[in-house]
Amino acid sequence: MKVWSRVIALLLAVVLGISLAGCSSGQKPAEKPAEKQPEAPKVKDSITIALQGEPTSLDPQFPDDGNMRAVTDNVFEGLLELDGQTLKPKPALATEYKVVNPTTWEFKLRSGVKFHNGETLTADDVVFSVTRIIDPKFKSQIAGNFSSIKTAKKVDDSTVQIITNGPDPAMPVRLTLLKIMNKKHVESVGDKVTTQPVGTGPYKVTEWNRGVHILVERFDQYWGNKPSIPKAKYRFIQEGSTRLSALKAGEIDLAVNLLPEYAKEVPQVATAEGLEFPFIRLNHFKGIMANKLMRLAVNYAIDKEAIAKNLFGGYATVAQGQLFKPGYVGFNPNLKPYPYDPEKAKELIKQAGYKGEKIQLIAERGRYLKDGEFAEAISMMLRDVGLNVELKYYDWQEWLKTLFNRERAPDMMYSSHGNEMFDADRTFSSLVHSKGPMSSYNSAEVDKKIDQARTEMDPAKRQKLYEEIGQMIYDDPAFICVVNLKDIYGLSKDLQWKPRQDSRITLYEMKLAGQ
Amino acid sequence: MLRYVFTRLIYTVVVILGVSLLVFVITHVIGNPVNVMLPLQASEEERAQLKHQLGLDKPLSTQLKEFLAGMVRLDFGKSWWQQEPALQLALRRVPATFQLVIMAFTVAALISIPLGIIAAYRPGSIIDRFLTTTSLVGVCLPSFWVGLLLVITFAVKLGWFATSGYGTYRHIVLPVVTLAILPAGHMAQIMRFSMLDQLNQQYVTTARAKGLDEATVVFKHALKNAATAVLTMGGMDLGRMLAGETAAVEMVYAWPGFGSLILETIARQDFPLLQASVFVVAVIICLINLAVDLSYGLFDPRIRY
Amino acid sequence: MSDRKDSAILSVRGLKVHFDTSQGVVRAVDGVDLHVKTGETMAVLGESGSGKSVMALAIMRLVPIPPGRIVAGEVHFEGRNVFQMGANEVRRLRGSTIAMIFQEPMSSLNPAFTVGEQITEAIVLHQGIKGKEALDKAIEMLKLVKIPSPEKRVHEYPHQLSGGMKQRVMIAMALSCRPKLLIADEPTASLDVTIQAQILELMKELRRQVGTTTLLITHSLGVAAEMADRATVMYAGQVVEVAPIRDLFHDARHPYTKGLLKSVVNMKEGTRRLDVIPGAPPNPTRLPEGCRFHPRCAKADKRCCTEEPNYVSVGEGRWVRCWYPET
Repeated sequence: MKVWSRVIALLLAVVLGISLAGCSSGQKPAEKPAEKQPEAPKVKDSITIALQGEPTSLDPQFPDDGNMRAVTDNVFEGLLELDGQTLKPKPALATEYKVVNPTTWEFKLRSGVKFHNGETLTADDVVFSVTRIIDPKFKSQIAGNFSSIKTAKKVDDSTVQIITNGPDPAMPVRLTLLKIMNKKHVESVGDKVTTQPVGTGPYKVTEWNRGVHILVERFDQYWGNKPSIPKAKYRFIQEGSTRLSALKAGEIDLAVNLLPEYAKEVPQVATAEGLEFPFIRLNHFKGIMANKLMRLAVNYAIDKEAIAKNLFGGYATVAQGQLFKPGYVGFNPNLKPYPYDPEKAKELIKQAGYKGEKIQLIAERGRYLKDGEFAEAISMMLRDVGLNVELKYYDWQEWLKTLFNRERAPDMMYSSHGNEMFDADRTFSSLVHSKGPMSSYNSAEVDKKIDQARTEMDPAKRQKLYEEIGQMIYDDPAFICVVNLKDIYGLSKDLQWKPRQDSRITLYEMKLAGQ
Repeated sequence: MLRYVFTRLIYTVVVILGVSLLVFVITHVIGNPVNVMLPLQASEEERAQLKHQLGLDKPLSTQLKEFLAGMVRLDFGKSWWQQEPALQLALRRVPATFQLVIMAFTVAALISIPLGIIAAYRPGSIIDRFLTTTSLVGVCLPSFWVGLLLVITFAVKLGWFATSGYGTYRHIVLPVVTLAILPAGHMAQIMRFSMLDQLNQQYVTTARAKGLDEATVVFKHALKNAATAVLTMGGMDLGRMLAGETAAVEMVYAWPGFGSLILETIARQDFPLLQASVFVVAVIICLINLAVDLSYGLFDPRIRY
Repeated sequence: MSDRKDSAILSVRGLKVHFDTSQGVVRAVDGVDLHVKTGETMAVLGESGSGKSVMALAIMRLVPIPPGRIVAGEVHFEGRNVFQMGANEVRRLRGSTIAMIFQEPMSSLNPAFTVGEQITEAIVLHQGIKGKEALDKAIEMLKLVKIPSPEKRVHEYPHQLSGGMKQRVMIAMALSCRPKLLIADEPTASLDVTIQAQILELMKELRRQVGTTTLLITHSLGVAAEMADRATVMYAGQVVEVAPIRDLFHDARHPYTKGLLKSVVNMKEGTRRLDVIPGAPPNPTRLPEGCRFHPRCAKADKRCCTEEPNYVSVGEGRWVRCWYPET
């Protein structure tokens, strides 16, 4: 039928017209080939980093937002910064510090440090930054990290004192999380501080195209070593498989948070021990698990190697009998993981007089890497040694409520722990101390040591206290420590970067091959 | 007509109010933003303090009153994370989603409607059988999965398009295609069904007996009658795309639209932004429904307002 | 039926239209001959399913193909074979030279367009007049079919009209281009009795005024008696008898026609026996051998069961398809 051929021809013309119009509105056709390989023969001077989401803000003092930190860690600096491999604080905007008395810390500021707006760093900026973040009216989501700080005061133009409510030996690490802002800029821009960051870091933000990308450029007046890569673009790709695709297609140079099963598909994989320790919290004070023998038994019953290898594809290391990795303040080098010994576990269970009572294991699904499978694997291994484990998955909210409610503490609970302070106090105060929000442990002796260590200003003594606590909760187990997950990054062929122990994405430490 | 529009607008206000209240109650009863906003290790005191700062320690009735008073002035407060007025943040994401949805809908309509008509014109033909099968497949495929497949094929393997992002035609083609599949399937099925029905009507024979050519018979006489069904389905699809389908597609393609904002906002439990987003979606969907209902009159003279 | 009449405006010869269905081949029209003279009204009588409507559609080449098939035969209109015309030529014929009125006025008009739009469509197409002029012509046609306040009605939609009004609109539409042949397929069957009478009256009046040749398809002997000059009786896809209307009523020769007439008489006499002809019309996919009517015919013998009868002339302009045409 002739009519049809005419109708179809017309439709084709319309569709073609629309697609052509779409082309011309985006990019002129002549520019297409150039667009396809923007970095063709020349040495590239820019890299693209794919984050898991868009930063909610670029005010590093406000949200608790890892996507933001991936950008702001390159734009802002603290008085001290961490060494990426040893996790020891080292001088940054402060060249040196001393403890004047247990509640007073004094910092000498580096001279000649410029902010991105051209202002010079002064003691006023530091005092402003410290008082801003602890001001309750500011409602900073990370204010909790600095609750020990009472105030800050200027001694002279290049000297600042920070006064604490009580002795706080963890102050140096805390200060690596407190970014220094330019007083004049913050006071003049008002609400725009969230989108117009001005720091002292090696890179300055040149553009934030909402939802699309953030561009940064090397800051020429940076006080420290000049970074190798001149420019970078941050893109926000929530979906893991899309980050993988973008990397394979050559659109990005660095993809964060790669799934283990994707690792073999990317041009280059880089890993470092990350912050997350998935573990099982044991109910120390109530119910069937209050029996120490039972808690020991479950520790012998878990094949940690198998979980690291099979569940996490080798992208996890067996935890050293604690929720710390080397470098953390309080890491106990003498602890070893409980060996996998099901026979011993069965024997201990028998000794404990276990009669097949039901044992609850509460977990959640979908929040952490392979959380559901992890809990499943644990419960199967426990059933293998004869425990009647009942695994239940709660939704996130319900799981949180259970986690925070000591009265409702189940026999065993899956959780994942990440200590961003790299200081044992964080972990012990919240997970082990009987008054800790997530604790189901009950030992007056341990409580006493935790309280004591929290204010012990002598690092050596403090370390010893933590090692003792670590030993105590190992011998009379508070947890089943299983593995420490690795951070997995996908890199393009020519990007060189050694991932850090603190999971920071440091653009200033990256290099391109051939540069 | 004006009276009808007026009553419908009042109805719309009631619906939006209802939806907002529902979301308010659900979020405030089930949600616990403090637990999401603070690190797990935060102490009881920190939690209580943040709760107080957010005003969540006030009685629910007081919070509701404040919320309603704000909503009347279109003030949903500042986003808890972004520290910017929530409505402004929500509206900023609308154009990207609109661009995606409108283009996908247009593509879907341009492909499915002619195909549906051709299939109905020759029922049982190869085109008909092809369309019936593919449209069924199209309706059943999860767009998230289709998106991943398209990315792997056309962006990674062939390099024709970008895997994700926003900007040029290289970025928009794949998300548009992904999003268009479901409504195209729906509309093709409805178009075929409705057209088949109309082509068997007596008035079609009358039109032919008048000496009209086939194009006029099909595209003027039958299509105008078949249009209402497609319009209904199209309106529903448009709403569904805006309110849900886009979220998955925007996620796969890292498209800076509305759907991905809502997903992020739910995960962060950012109540002001969530309320503002729901408000914006509700308004858009109500307006689409109104537009669809009003346009019935263009096709079917039996409908009067 | 060998005597070819040169005065015939329409001649249908040996027409066979079959439909392929899932139950098998339906031989809806299976060898029909029909001659309509200029100016006369020819009634095609038959029960539903006898193939009369399909034949009417076939004349205008409106049988849906597939599932329909023109197996054999020719249709000559004013001496030209309609089946050999090109698609455009047929379209020019439809609506202008041959017009058609359908059984269901409710569904025969498009609900989405105004009366005026639907009438002017054919006028614009065939007469080359447009806009206001075409609309005036439509109003004039509505006046002709006696629709009150046609200036207003012309802008109304079908759903705003009653059934009788709609049929008047259909007639107006059919007559708008002054067709030479009007095919009216059960024009009053779906209307109630008073409206039926009005429409028939209108058609008679228009015939006097316009003088269109009419092919009136009906199952009603009453309608045929009132309207037609001659009648063709169809049974199971075939013509069984042709006669002037008066002769048919007074002196029917085919047993089937007789049966039909008896049933009407019985109804008039008020007896309860409606079904004078025993049995039911044959299954169209499995038509009987020999004479199609033999299973229901009281006079059928062996020959009727095996051999198909041919037309027999039984008088001036009278033909019967029967082995035993009764005298």
